[in-house]
Amino acid sequence: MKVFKQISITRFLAQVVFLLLPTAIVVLFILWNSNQYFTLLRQNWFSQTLYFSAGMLIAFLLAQFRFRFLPLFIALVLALFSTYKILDNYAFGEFDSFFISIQFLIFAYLFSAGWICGWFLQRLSYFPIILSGILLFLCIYLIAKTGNLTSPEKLIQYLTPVVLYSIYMIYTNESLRNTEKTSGIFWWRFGKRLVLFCSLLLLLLGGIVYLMYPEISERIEEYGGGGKDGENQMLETKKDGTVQNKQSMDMSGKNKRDKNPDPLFCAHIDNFLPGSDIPNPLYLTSYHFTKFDTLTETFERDTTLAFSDEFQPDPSKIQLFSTFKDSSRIEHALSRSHRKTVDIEVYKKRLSASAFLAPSTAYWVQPITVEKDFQKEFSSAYRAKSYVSDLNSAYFIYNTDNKDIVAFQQHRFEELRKAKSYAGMDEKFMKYYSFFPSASQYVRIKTLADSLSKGKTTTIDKVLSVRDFFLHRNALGEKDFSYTDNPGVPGLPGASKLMYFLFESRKGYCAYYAGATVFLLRAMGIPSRVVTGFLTVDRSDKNTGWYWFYEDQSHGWVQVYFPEFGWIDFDTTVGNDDAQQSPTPDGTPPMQPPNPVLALGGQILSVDTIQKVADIHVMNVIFKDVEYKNIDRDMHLDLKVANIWKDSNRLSIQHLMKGNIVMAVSYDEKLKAYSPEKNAEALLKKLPSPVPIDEVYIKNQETRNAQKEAEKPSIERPFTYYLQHIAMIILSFILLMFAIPVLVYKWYKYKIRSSHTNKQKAYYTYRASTFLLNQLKVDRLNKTPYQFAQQIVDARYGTQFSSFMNVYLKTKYSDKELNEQEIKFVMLFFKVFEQRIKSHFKAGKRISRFLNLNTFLQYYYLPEPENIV
Amino acid sequence: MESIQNELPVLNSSAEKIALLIENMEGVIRGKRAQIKQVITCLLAKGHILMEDNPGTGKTVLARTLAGSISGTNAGNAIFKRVQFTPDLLPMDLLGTHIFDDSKKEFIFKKGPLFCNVLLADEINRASPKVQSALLECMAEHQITMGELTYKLEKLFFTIATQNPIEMEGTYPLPAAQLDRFSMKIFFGYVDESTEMDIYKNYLNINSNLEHIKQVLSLEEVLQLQADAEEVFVHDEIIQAVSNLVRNTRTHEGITLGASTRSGITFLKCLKACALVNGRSFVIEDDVNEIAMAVLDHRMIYKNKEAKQTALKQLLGKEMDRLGKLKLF
Repeated sequence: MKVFKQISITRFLAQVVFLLLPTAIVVLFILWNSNQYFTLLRQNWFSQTLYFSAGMLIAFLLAQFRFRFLPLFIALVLALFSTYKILDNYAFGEFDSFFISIQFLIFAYLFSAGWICGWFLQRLSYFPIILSGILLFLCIYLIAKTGNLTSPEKLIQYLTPVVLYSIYMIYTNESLRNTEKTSGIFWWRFGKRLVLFCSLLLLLLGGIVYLMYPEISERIEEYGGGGKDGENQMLETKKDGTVQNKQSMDMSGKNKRDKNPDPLFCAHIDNFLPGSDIPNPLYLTSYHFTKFDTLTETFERDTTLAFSDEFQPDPSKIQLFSTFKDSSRIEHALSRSHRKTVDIEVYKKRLSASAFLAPSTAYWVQPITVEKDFQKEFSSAYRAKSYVSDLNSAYFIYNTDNKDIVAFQQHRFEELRKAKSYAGMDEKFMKYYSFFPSASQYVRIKTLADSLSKGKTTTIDKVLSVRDFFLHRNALGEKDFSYTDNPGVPGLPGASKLMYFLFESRKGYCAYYAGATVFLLRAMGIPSRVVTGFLTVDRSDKNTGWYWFYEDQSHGWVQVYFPEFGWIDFDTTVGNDDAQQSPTPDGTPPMQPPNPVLALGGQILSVDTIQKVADIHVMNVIFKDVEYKNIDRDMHLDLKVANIWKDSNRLSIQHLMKGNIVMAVSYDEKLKAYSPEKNAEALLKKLPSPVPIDEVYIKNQETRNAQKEAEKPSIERPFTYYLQHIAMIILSFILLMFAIPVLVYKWYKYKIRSSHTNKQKAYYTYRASTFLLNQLKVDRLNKTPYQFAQQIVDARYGTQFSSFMNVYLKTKYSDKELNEQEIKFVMLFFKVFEQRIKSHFKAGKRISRFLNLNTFLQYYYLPEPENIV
Repeated sequence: MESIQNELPVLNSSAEKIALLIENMEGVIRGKRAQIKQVITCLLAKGHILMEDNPGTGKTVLARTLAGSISGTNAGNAIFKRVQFTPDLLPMDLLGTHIFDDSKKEFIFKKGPLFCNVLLADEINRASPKVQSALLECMAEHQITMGELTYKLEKLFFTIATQNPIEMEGTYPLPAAQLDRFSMKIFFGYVDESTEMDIYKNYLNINSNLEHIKQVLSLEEVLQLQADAEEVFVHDEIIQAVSNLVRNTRTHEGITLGASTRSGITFLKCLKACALVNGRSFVIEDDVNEIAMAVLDHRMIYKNKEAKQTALKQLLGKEMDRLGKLKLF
């Protein structure tokens, strides 16, 4: 190493422009992406890039002047750390120190990262590979985090800049290092680095996918990520124009509450106050947000949770009248008293066909038909059963004047006061649902929670204390907390929105109230969670039990767990003074088709259009809401009064064909007399033959299949499919790379065998033997081939290589032909030579050396001697 | 598997003779095989050789041994003359003078020491430039012109010039143009320790060997060998390599003055002779490697010391690499 290497300004500038600038740009790209996701970073990507670049540039300059890395870096870290400590302890204002120290922490990390990058870019020739690897890792981690792994396009979009950058860096770094050297050496060095980089890429991709597979596969199913300003924060619009609840819940940006007068859906909830006909509306739950992500300060869904009672079937994927039941949900609801089953029918208008909403805790779903006259208005419908607490009610803050309801509220608080303590609960359950982050910035919330719960002994009183905290009015009678769809952002960047909401702005929409409530409750040690869905408003006296749902009713609230009672809904969002009622009066609820007593699913075996009877091979039976599956039995159907339906078109019986897959439904009163059996066979035997049928729905097989096929590539294929292909290509590429030396050697040997002239034979023997020696790292040490043969090979391995070289050089440079003895020698030479050489190297050593691409390339491009002028 | 001889006896008789000569000379000069071979190569290429090194390394002995190994026309040794060059040496002392013969009443030419087969021009850089140029002219022309008369030199005229390193005091360094006349310039160097021990132990024997050198070759045979050398086959690739080397010296950054075309021709002649010395009827890359430095180095003017060390070696290495990796098919 030349210590006093001259520093060339042009070279330095070239390195800054060609190495540091692109690095800064890629870092900008990554930081920009992370800013989209990590709220902690506060959209300050530009200045963050500047921090990084500054660190990089300074370190690069210092490294150029041959400063020592360790002392300087230790000094830097100490300086940053002490500054941070001072900032942390010195209070500018109440929050400022906290926000500023967070900001400073980001600065310190980025500056140090830039420092390390700059330093090693100057000092380590292979650092671009490591840097590319790290950046790639960050990029993939980010993609996996933000859930964009769903589409390969996104993947390519995100990864391309980094991959291109990596190749560029390796190339440029190499060419910059070799500015004074001739080009021959450059290409093999470049090639070597590229191979290294490719294998690194493969390793990284493989490793990340292996490590993060659960998370990724989860993300493929759902789409999370930060919401954007000016959208409805609770709903998402799907491609086909329908809407459903979002799977993420952020305190981000403005909430746009669509005043669309067109309702999303309507529902009939069969729930009344005990012993009266006063309807007791229930909130419709969609998703549970149970896990608090301290990084983004949001509550997240946790679909891997073992004891979750979230029930999320996709009604559009269940056969008409087929049922889907998951009784484990009832067990997971962990409640024994005050529970009943509530039926609900949901008729969807603009609500997504795959959306499922029901009061907690749902456990059963059955897609049903929509009455013919209402089919234009409602696209689909389903029935659901929920295991609901008696004490649940939508009335909590939205107080009503209705005496009965007020009485009911008092009654349920009284009941809940009887709830047992949490002692003896499953430890895992408690730990999970009452998780409270230990970071220092949350101490303030903990303090608030403690002050609220002071003197309160029962859980319900603690919950009510939080409610009262939000409803509290000051001495002038002004509300402390108010509702707004535009909560604004904290003035200081890097601040937590939750803190900002609780202590500063004191206004927000449901996500803020629900999030803050759960935070406070968990600080009190009460297991609770945020749920999203729709709030139910009872507006109409006309159709009791029917509720209409508009877009602005999408909502987030809190569920609190009480031992024995289970999860109870609580809504702590303060009333919106602007608008709660939808502008238009509710429409007419759909006519409910009679509840089918019997539904037979199967394939038509034969149809008699004159007698109006048919035979069916039954595969599944639903009798009085109980489904029997995997049945193998033929039944006789009576179709005298039956309507035949296909794609909501009514057809004549002639259109019913043999082989059609149908669902035959009967509303017959007589059948109601039969009691369900445990065994489907026994039940079907009991039924009269032929069975009277009222409706026959023909399934559209072709479209169903087409749908399935259309769904497949877009859902099942994407990630692993492309990943596998990319991995296979890279893998085979790498395998091929490493096989090249062996293949070339085999090729030379083949050429020896297939040579026609002695000259050719001698030449290929020469190539093969020198190749073999080179690959086994027998160094030629700047000797001529003949000297090499005589002084090194023959001396070391006892071969007759120099004799061969004599013959070979004769063929190469002489005008004379070989004599017989020489021809014979060439014929026999190689086999013996190869054996001799091989006997001096162990098999493992031979193989490992043959895998070395470096020596392979050296055989063709010997590094040129240094050109010192 | 039966072995193939290392050295191919292509020109059996020539190879044997040369081997005999080398062996004979090695009996007197220990541990200098490479130098002996280079001297013989130069002899067979009809060139002249310049040896440079410190005094006492065996330069004179080598020249004397060579002359002694060749038998002259009249059963004696080949004519060996030695001239010690000093600053006051005049060209006349070298070429000879016309002196007046009293009996014949005319000027007759008294031949100088140049009229010989092997001339040892000792410490050539101590003589004045005038003497140096006179000698070098004769070496090139193989004749002496005195007044109106021209005198031919011996058919076999081989000069072995020695030179002390130019840094030493009282020397007139040879100009580059003059150096070009020498086919080769070799460095003698000290022998290794074991050889030197051997010399000390046997210096009496060695001295007596010098007194009684066997004559192994006749003058005619040497001339025949010179003719044989010219018959050696040179492959086009070798000519290409010589051409590349010579041309590259002209463009190399570290070299101010490169090799001339004449030096290229000399190089080829020496290569042929070298192949013959190595017992081959064709030139191979090893021959190039063996003598390239000796033939070309002294003709170059380098920019600096570093270039002197590396420039030519670098060019040669590149060319050897090219030849070694030559694709025949």
